[in-house]
Amino acid sequence: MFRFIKKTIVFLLILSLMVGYVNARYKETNIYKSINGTDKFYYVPQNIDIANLGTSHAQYAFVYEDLDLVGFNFALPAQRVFYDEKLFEKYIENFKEGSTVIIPISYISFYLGYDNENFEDFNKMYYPFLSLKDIKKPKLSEYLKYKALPVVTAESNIKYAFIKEEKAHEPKSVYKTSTIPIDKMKEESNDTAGRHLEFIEEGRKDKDKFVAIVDNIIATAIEHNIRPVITTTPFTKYYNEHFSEDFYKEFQDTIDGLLEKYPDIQYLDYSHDPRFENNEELFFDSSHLNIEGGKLFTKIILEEIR
Amino acid sequence: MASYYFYMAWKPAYIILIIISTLIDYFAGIMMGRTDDKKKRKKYLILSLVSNLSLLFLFKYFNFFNDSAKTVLEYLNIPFYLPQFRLLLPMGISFYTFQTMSYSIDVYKGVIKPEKHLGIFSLYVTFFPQLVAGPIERSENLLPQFREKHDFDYDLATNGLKLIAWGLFKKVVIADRVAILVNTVYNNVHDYTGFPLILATILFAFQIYCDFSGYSDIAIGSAQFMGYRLMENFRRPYFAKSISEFWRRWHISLSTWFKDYIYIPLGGNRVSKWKWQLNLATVFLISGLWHGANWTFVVWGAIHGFYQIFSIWTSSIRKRIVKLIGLDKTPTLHSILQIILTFTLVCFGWIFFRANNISDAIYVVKNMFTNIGNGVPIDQLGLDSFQLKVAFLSIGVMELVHLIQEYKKKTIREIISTKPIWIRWSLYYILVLCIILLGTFGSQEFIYFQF
Repeated sequence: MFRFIKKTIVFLLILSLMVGYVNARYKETNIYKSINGTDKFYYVPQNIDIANLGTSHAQYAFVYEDLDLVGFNFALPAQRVFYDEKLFEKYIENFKEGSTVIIPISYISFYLGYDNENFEDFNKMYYPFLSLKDIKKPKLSEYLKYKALPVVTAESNIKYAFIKEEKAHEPKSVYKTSTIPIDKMKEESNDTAGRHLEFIEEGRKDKDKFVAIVDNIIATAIEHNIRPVITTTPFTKYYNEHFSEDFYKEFQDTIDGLLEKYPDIQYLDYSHDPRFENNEELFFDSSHLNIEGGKLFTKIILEEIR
Repeated sequence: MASYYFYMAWKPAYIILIIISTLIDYFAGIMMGRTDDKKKRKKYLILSLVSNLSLLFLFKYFNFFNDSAKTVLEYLNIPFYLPQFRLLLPMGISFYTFQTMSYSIDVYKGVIKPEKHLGIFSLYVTFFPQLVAGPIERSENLLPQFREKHDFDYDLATNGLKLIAWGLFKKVVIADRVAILVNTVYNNVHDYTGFPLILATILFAFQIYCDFSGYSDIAIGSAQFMGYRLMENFRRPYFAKSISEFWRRWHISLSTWFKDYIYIPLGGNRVSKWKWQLNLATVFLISGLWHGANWTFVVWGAIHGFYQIFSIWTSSIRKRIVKLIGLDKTPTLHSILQIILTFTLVCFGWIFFRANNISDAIYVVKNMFTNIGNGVPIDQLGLDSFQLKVAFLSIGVMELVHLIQEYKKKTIREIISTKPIWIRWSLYYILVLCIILLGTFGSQEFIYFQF
């Protein structure tokens, strides 16, 4: 029995080293880094001048390329405010003193929690670069697959742990260059806004909790001598017309209430800005800016916050 | 307790069915042991058989026969209605009912004495390594082992682990990988003609073999690790030179069960030629039905029954043809041709086993040789070129191992154990690394769990 145990331990130790080695090589590949489209988090710059958090609305709205400052876009699709908070805390040392953090608040930001049906689809994005304690509703299988032992589910991609990787796996820009015809945009806005209104109803019970999280992000920024700016990114009129005036007033009141204790903090609301609302060619769908719209918006907001 | 806990991890409520089956068969065995009166013993045997078959019928076949009867009677304009049972098929029911029935029949025939210890009998019924998908163990092999002391045995434990690893290799590297291509084609057969249908059929032959024998290896290896010996369930079936040899190598525990408890009691081959053929047809139809409540399985069974009967009819003609073309003078070539032909016949049967329904199976048969050169490219059937290479290479390695075992008449573990330590450990590491790095860890269940 002792001989068996001894040999088993030796076998498992050597096996762990071998698997660990292949796993480490695999985690260096671009194909692993680009799983779930989060490869940008391997390239977070130091001395950030300006950065934004937020959902996909912000992911496409902020374009820092070709600008004479160090900017970074922390936004991800359907990113919840509690992940905004965790990302901000994790990378806070990358911010320069006196830099700016833009906290985008969409119509759904205070309502998007972990009870919504799409939570699990998007939650897996965070395993590679947040620690397990910061992941909401973690699953062991996902932790192994996306963080600890991704080599086990690498399938065909495992070959890149040993051979030169294809160019196709190099990090790519996420920005969209085109727009869609108006009738398609109207149709899409029905689906998207419909879904978002459902999220809002589902998330009402947690609204105060999420408002408190945004409050905490603001406080953390101030504590670290980082200037927080609140904004709502532009939407088309097709998207906006699905949200009632009552809802919009409630949305405004919530932000006003949040900023009561921060009178010096700017809130820049571009949700109905006429420069964008009536210009569908700046959007690739009813609520997301394309690259042209993003560059214009970034230029405008940077001027306003200077 | 561990075995009950193992089963309850799937669906706790269904443990009641195993407990009922256990208690009825235990009681039947005890009562048969208390009397020499054949009539009384027969009553208890019938009690055991009827209760097990009733459970099986209710959970597995009721809806199938209900739907079939409805179809036929509606065609004859006879109104018919019986409600459907919405019951989940209990995992392993086809296996443990057959296992307990074999116990009751053996006690009735006096092959073994009834087991008086309820705990040991319960363990015989629910022994977790083989509970859900066999091997279907005979009481005379398994029951006595539960009374023996099982001290840790280094050789048994390490052999068990090696067998588990080999089973896992077959399951996650081969079976689950080729399943992706097989499912892509067979779940959408009408989108394909020619080569994809042929390839999917051949790969299904390896999928089902690797899936089922892989499970059996894991079950036998797990039992061996604990010091128990279970029966061999597969013996390189695709090296069979005839269909009847195939059935001596494939799912051995089931085929011997049918032979001992249905075929031989019907008279086997010690009856007139016509009765013999009827016996074969009966056994294979029942075998097909055992595999599932679908006409595709019945047809598959019928095909194998036909193969057996046809081989009886053509036995002398085939011998004459072999002599005529001189194949008897080239035994190796003759063997290779027999193996290829048997594999082809088995693959034809697998079409019906895998197809979702009879019309899909007929479509595959009609279209597998049409448009051969113009089909969908092979790497667009769900597996990219790397995955295909891994699949073919793994199947190649597995068959090479089988060839060595067939030629040397020893297990590969026995052969490797004579090699130097660096060779042995290198091979073990390669095997385990293949499982970890090349295994497909998706959601492919073991195929035979559905039976």
